[in-house]
Amino acid sequence: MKLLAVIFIVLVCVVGCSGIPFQKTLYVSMESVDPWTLVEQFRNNSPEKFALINTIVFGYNWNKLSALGYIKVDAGEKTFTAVCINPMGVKLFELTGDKDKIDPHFVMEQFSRKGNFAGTVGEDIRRIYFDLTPSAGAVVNKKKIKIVFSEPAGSGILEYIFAGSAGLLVEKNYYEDGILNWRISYYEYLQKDGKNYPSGIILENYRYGYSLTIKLKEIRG
Amino acid sequence: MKINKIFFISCLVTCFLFLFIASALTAGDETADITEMLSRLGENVSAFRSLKTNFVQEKDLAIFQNRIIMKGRIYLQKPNRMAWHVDEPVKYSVVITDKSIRQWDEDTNRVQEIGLSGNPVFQNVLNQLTVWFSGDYVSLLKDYNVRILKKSPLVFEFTPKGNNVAGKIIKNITIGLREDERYLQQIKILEISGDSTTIIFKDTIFNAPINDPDFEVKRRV
Repeated sequence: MKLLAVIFIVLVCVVGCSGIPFQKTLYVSMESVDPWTLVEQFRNNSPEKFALINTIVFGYNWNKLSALGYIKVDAGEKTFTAVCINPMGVKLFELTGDKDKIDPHFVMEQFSRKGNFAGTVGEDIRRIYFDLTPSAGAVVNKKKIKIVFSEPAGSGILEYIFAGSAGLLVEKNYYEDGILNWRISYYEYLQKDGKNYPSGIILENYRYGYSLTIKLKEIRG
Repeated sequence: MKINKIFFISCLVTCFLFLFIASALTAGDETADITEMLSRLGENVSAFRSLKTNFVQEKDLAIFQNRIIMKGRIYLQKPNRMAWHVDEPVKYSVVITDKSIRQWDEDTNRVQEIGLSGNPVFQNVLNQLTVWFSGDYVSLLKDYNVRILKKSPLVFEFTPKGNNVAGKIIKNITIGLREDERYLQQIKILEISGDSTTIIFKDTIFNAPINDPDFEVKRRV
């Protein structure tokens, strides 16, 4: 019986791991790294204004929907414009937003029927592309192979995890009442003009049971 | 003096009448010309059993003043098979028959099958594609106003009539024919939002043997 349980756990791990289409960050010792120097470096090497073309897979229950996304972000001003089209070129939605509001310019009817679709997408975009470094008051928990920063956010706790040989942001986790609400994982950073861009991003929203897998296709300035 | 006035008014009325009748006759001639031209073109364009063509799809998004380019291949086989393969920037395939739609993309690596019977939206899309790609342009006259923009090579502009629901989204559709008028050179859809989609057909081959793999959606990834 014990053996069966072990086999089951191993299988779950293997299947779970194989579901990630990006290379996991190789964790190295962070013992000699100063946490705030790391944050400062990451902030300096993060792009402020950029436009990206991504492929996006939206996963809900066992359904998966694939699309192409074009997004323009001003992380300093905290504004964004996003358009999503299907692979045949049909527009699915178009919206703009800032830190306070989301303006849906167009949402295909089949999506707009499902609650506040634009609000949910806009909130996910903010989580993914804004506030990528902890504020000065964050609590630092330095571990052997990663550095964890925690700070209050909304009615919960937001966690930033930095790891890897380059000391980059690998995870953002949000907890409410000790329960993980959502997690964003950043993979395979690449550099353009001295700035770092993750070429893979996975958002898992445990509260509402959906995921977004974002693959970077092109950086446009 | 009074006679002069009556004479002047009579002349004016006659001129107006002449102009009105002349313009009505010209419009009638033009409509007849267009119908005849579309009918002739329909015969030319539809004179194939199968067709292979490469395409470049340019999506201009008004909100970004920027362009997304997609490249791929289209296969048509009469009476009712169409395969649309996108190769860049994402690999995606859809095969449409009169009964079903099968689609696949590299990110999900899943084949999804959608029945046509319960999908009026897809059925409508399929009908539209069939008309535009197979050359049955005369049938569009009931829903669109048509005018000739250029005679050599031929360019037509189709504008949705007031009662056509397509008019809520589409401002006009322009089709350009090849020099030999055997097939489309390009099709441009201008939306009310200011977005536009241009599909440019390249290396079109008529009646070339089409193999079964051309109508398979799943590819090796």
